[in-house]
Amino acid sequence: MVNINESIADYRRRENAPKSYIGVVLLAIVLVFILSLPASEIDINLFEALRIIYDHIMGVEPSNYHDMIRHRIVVEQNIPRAIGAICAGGVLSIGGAVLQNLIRNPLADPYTLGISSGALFGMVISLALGISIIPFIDQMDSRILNAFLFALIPTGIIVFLSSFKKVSPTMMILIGIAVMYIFNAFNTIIKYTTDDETISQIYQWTVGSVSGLSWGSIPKLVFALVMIYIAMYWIRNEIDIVAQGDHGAMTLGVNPYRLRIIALVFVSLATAIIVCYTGTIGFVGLVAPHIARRYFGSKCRLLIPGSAVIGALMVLLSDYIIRLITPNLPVGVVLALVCSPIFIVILVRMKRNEW
Amino acid sequence: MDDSKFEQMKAEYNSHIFRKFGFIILCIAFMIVMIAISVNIGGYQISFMEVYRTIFDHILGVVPEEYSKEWYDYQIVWNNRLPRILFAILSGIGLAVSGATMQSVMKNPLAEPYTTGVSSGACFGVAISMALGVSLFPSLNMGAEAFIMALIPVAIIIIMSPKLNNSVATVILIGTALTYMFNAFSTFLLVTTDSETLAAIYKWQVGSFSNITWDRLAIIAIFVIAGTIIIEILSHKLNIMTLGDNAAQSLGINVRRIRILCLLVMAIMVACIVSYAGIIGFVGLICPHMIRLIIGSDNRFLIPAASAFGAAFLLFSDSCAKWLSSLDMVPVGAICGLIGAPLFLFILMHNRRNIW
Amino acid sequence: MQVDLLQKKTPLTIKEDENVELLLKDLCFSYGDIDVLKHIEMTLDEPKLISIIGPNGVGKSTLIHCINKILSPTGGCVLINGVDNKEVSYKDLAKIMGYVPYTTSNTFPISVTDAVLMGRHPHSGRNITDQDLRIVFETLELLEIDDLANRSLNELSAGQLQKVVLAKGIAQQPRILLLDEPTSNLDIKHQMNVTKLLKSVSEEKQMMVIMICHDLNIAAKYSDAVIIMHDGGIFAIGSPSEVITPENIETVYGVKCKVIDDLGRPHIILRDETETC
Repeated sequence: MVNINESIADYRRRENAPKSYIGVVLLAIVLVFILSLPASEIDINLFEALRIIYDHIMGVEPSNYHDMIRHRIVVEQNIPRAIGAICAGGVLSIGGAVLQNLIRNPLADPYTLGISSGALFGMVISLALGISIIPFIDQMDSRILNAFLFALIPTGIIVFLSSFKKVSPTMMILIGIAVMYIFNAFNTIIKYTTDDETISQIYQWTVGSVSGLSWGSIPKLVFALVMIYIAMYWIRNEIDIVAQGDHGAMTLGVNPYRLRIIALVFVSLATAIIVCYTGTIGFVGLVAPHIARRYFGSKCRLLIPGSAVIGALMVLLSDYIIRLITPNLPVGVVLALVCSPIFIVILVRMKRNEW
Repeated sequence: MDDSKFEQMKAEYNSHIFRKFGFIILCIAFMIVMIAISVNIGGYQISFMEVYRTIFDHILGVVPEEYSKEWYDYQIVWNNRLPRILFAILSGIGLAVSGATMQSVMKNPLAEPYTTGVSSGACFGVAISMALGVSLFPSLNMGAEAFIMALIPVAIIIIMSPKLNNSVATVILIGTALTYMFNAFSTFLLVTTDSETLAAIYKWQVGSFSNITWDRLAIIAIFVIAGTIIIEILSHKLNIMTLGDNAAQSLGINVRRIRILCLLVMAIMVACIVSYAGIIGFVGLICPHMIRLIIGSDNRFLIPAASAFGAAFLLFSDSCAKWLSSLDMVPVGAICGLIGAPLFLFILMHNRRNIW
Repeated sequence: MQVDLLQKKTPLTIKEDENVELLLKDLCFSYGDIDVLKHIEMTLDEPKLISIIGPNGVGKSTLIHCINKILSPTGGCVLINGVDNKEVSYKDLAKIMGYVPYTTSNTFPISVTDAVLMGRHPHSGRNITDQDLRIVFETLELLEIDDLANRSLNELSAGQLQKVVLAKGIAQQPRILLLDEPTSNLDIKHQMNVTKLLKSVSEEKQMMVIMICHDLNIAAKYSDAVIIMHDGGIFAIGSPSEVITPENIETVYGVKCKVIDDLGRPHIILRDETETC
């Protein structure tokens, strides 16, 4: 290497090159978003959908029954669904990427901390037993609040136990898994004792879907996405350092135990918000980071936005496909069906021995 | 080395070994006590003495008169309770051993017997069978469908393994992807059926040991015991493989072949358990960790200890489940979680060793 | 043992021209019932290359880990310019103390440049400036691994990986650099070069370089001071010629040897029991 200036320029170039790929994926998201606007059981074409939106923004009310239905579908259903899909995919993928790096285990994802079974427990005791922690609120809200509060219990236990003893990354996840089993046990017992209809309802919620989303939930979902993105992006360098080993991190000035707890809290909060509204959409949190790693590398500066956009695109695309075929299928099904083979192909073609 | 030092070191080494053996013997003793207790638990009231008289009579070849009280006792104890107890023991052995082995082979503490997709394959088999109403071997009560479909994800992994660069993490991820895929297939079927079928499939999935007869038990016993013995024979090599693939290879171990062999053996063991017991989690993932916290990671002791502990634990959980509700309203998997998870957290917090 | 997530810390800043003094006061460490470090007293206050030698298991790594706060001593304390390292945050400590470990985690590997760049984190935090990159590339050049700049860590040999970790420590530009067997995987030419480099770095940059070394002759040839550890404590400390004597080596290692003088430095020739000295 003759010239250090050259090397510096070269490094900067390499750092920024993958940004263009992220741009491409973002473009794809926008494209699919627009295409998905008219998709539904009724035949609406794209221009009609755009016109309806334009009218809505201009404050023009739909005049006849025909327009009203289309208005409801496009503005009240499809747009919130699409935004919800993007938020869910983004949050879960960022959570997965961060946890995998901090726990140093490719099997980590936001659900392995027990968040989903906690939320399910809150949902189940609300649906099946009619109990809610904070009474006197309207039923739908109380269910969600229940789910949210219970979703945070596993994280709370991990944080609590960490104050007594230095908790290694694997221990952290195993604690989360143990708490998950306890909640699962309760869930199973309660489900076992309820009627088939409730079981069906619960099952639908478990599998995860964005179809029930309305405009009311959108601000919270967007908040979750923005919060986790900013928080994790803020500590991106620290995450990279801890990913290389705890001892090395300590001697570079980063307290790995504290960082893991902080990351855990943010990931849990954001995931809990998402899970309360969409149920458990699996697969994205685990797989999107791995795909992102393949194309963007393991450094958080690119991994976090990269995972977010890939995850968002995956969920959005799956929801679009569902809307084209049959609107009532849970999004998790299509996600797994469509994206599993793609993921396997990517894994197999990964020539370098990444890890 | 002088004699006294040698004696001292030998004594220390022996005490370590003694501790490990002691743990195994303790588990086996506990299991035997549980068998004795569990035989008495059940919906149908049979007194303590009568239960044992029935067993002795059967062993001595005394055949009770049809439809007499003794005959009913015999049916309950021999064809209902005893098979269930033995099934719980065999499942405990199979799941715990598979879990410990999977964690060693995959070098990942989060791996479990279902990581390769066995459970979702079985579930899909059952879902097809129930949702479409077809069955290959009706007499086996969906066991065949579950078993065959359970092995498909593993077969896919084994077939793909030459292309995988010897990376275990890739195998884990493919297994997980396959799990999601088959779960998606199942879900697709389930959301399109009525809620009754859904409930029935769900009840299968939740896991129970009551769906067993002596002939099915025999097959399961053969597979589980043979599998455990094979893995125990390989355990020495598995120990060496934890040093790293390159180091192991230079010591003459064909790492890839052993991995595939282990995957196959585990898959068959777990598939036949899952076909009739449904999907019982926890034992495969957390029990091996509990055992490691108590006796360390040496595979040669880990496998027998896993068998003993797994059997004792699952039998205990099933007995509790039976005791709490004779109608199978309390699923055994739930009891496993409720008892095992706090126990695990307790052991974790009080442990000085830092294994991972 | 309370994990200090929220304790208030004393700031510690050492100006560039200020001298750094490392003081170990009655330092003790035990793993459960086993006492590893027993009442160690030591003062180091000059920037030089210091080797720590001693048999396996005597506590060399434990000592280093107590100094850089990876482990908490069970007794006594470590004072840096009078401030107890318990009171200092990891962040402040990292500005003046660097560590080159024996092994690093490799789950999700990154490029060599990125790995060494992490060494700049205590000083630059979030903003990687051109100056940081300059330091990184100069360090890579110094260690003769500049051609590996864009390679991924998992493609390197053990020796190359060791040099990368070393580069990370040097790029950190600490006042005290602690190294755990930094040359164990290198061939003889690189062992010599790296040790010589550490010595020149300690002189030019006024850095106290403390390294655990298993090769007694390399330690003797280049170090300004040698510390021999034995039985949980400091057995001897001084210049190589003072400390490396046949009597000391036999007491500590249980090995007979002959020590000759080579260009002013001691050189050890090992003898097994049957040979004469």
